[in-house]
Amino acid sequence: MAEAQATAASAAPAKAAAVKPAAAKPAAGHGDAVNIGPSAAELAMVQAPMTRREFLNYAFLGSLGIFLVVFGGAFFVFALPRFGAGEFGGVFDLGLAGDAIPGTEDAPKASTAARSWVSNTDQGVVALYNVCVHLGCLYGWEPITNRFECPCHGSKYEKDGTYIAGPAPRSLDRFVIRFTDANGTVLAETNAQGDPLEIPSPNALMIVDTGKIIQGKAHG
Amino acid sequence: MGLFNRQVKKKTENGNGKANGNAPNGQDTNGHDVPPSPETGEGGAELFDVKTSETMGDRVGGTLRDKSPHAIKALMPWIDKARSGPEGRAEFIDKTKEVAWVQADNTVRAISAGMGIADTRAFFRGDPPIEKPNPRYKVHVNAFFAHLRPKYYEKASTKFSHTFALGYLSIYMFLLETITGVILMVFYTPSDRRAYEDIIKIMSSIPYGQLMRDLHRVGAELMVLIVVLHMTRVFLTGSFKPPRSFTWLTGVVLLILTFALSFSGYLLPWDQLAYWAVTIGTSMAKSVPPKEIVGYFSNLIMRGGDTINQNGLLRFYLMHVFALPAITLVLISVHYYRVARSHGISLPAAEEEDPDPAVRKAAKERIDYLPELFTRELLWAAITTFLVVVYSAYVFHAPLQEHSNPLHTPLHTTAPWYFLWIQGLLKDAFVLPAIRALDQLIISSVKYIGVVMPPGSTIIVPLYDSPAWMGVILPTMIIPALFFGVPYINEWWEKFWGSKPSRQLLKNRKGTVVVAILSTIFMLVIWYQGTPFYGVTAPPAVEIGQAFLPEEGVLPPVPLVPDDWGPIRRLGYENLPDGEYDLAEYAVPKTTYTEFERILSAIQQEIMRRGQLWEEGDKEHGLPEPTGVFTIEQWQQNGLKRIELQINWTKTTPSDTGEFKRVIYLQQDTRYQ
Repeated sequence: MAEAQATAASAAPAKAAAVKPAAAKPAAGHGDAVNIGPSAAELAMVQAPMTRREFLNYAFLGSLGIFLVVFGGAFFVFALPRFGAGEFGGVFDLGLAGDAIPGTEDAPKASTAARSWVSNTDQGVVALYNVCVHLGCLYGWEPITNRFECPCHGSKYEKDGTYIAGPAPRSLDRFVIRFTDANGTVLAETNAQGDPLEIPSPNALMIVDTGKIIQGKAHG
Repeated sequence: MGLFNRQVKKKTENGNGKANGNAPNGQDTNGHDVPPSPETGEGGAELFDVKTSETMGDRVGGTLRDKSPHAIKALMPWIDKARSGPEGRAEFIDKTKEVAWVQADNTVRAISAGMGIADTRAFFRGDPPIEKPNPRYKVHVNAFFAHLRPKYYEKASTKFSHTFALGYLSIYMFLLETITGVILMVFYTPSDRRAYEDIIKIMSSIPYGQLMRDLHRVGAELMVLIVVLHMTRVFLTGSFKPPRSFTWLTGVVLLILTFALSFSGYLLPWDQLAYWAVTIGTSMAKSVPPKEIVGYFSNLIMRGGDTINQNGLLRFYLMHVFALPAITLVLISVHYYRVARSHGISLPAAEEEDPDPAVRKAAKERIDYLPELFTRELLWAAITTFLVVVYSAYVFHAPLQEHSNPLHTPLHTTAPWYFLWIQGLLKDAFVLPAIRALDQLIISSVKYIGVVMPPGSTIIVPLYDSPAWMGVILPTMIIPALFFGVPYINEWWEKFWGSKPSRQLLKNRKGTVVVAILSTIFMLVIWYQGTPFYGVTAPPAVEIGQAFLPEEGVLPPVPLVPDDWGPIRRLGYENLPDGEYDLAEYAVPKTTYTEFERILSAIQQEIMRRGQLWEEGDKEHGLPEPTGVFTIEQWQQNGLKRIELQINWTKTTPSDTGEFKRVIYLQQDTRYQ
């Protein structure tokens, strides 16, 4: 086909190629040709000053490019998902602390609406985001081994979400917990480090704020 | 009338007629001699001397003559002759044959876009063309689809053992996917409420629906396979080298598009397999650095929400049926244009670089596309269609797991087999342990200079983002960066060593062979690590349940790789007698056991082995005093069985339930659970 192409373009180079194939082939359209620089005409064109038409053409092309970029931005904003009120990302009331929170020796409790595991240890309560920090699978509580295990890539976590093993980059993410009394006064709130929270009273209301995710600590 | 007018003019140039655009007589398409009409003398001019004394009949006849089709008009002068006697009749018949031939020949020329009757026959007989210049080349100029193809190929490049027709088969698979895909679209609704039902409907109540779905699935997996093989072939024959560098580059884009096409279709059945495989896939996008911006937003845009839902399904659907096929079509056009118009298919390197000019010349001998290669291609399409249909009808059925459940990830969720290598990378078996070891090395060595770090402290590990490196950066380096670069790296390499740019694999490219073998081994290893057999351990009771009653088919039954539905599912509805079985009774295998009892016995053996392990002190894999009960019962309706495996053991911790249950349901009338 290369030969056919050459024949179509001009007969002479094809014949030359046929006579000395070894020399002609690599050079054909490729970097091996000796660089002799631009001709006088080429040089004159390259160094010529910009005309008004040339400038306008560049400006026109540029404006088309700007349009495409703006259009891409508009598409991006258009395609971004909208989050409605009352969906995940909002505040969830899990009821009285005494009911919502399992004992320190019991298995953690899952809350599907708030997408969290409420887990109680001697240090206090944590609300763990129920998505594995590795690749978004839902890990589960394994009572036999007494830990969380991810079914996809095998990451393992302690009851309080601390990383044990597997490819996950950090410990499990936690939500902010708030305990309030019946009047809505905040009795206790998870600190910025996401440390486990002591239960102030079994009659306090437990609130999980899924809008505030505290990333787990990177592990070693 | 334009056609007739042109012929009139042609006649006029010959000097045998008058420059009268409406002269009805005295012409003939091929310029055959026209005898003077007995009535009108020479020419037809007198027809226009309309006489008032003309009868109505004459005028109607004149009009008929005027408006008749050209072929009839050409015959008219002979009609009167035929009336005059037998000789005239014979002449009339001859003339009729002549005119009919011209008509038929022109019609065939129009249909075949350039070949007359004789040449069409020669075409089908496999004879050389008759007319000069070759009318088959005319077809390439006139006909759109023929113009896409080259007029001829160089003979050696068409050898089957050189290309294995893999490029052609890729296009074939793309067409197959388009056709079966459009048929499936008729019954499919991209809605989280209806999608799964629609797939069930396609498989169970639409005639040929299951065949279409299986064909689409087989075609998709074969397309990935064929494109990868095509690329391998191009690499091994050195066909990526100049002047084909850019073609290789478009080919890499097409490989990625093939993956994307296949993967975007993965979500559409909306079953557990689809849902969680795509969750993993989009989570990888989350790790694209800088992940706070690019990763976060690309994940959101793809999923259409924080998890995959109706929005995500619709987005994947639109990508799958419109955006990606459109882009792929454009890229295929660019890729094929380069092959067909700029450089053609490469010649086998050994023949192209042969020192003997006779061999080189023979390799470049022309072989026409029409009809030889065209026939060959049709044959390939027919054979492939046959094989794919037989395979889909009798061997392979596209899997469908349970309806997607965003609240439960099944154990051993896997990516599609062509992404298992990425899933293997994500388990991070090499780099993370290495970095951990390095950390330990640093900690233990700084002890000697007096710096004591608390146990469990880390140095480099916190800086390392495993999903980003293993899920995004490394695959990106392997596929686009490295593959894009292959022709250019190769060129630089040859210049660096000053070696002759040769394409012969075993003679001049030994380094290439080594690199190819090593990278193949590496890919196979990480591919294996991606399967559920590597690195994902569950608690012992779950492992037993998973081995005999897996939650879902673990591995999709890809070609050549067996499905893994577990022995109970494979045994089938009919062979599972209802009842409650205490597994302890099956502790000793007996030769009189049925197939079902043998499986019960195998489960009991495994339970006993776990008990044994516990006693030996292996708390990780053993169970304290385990017992098992296996229950099969009819469930809710006829034709549905509930199968339960319950394993009990002594509680070891307060939160330990001491119990594991695995329940699956089997339906009577379907291969799918």
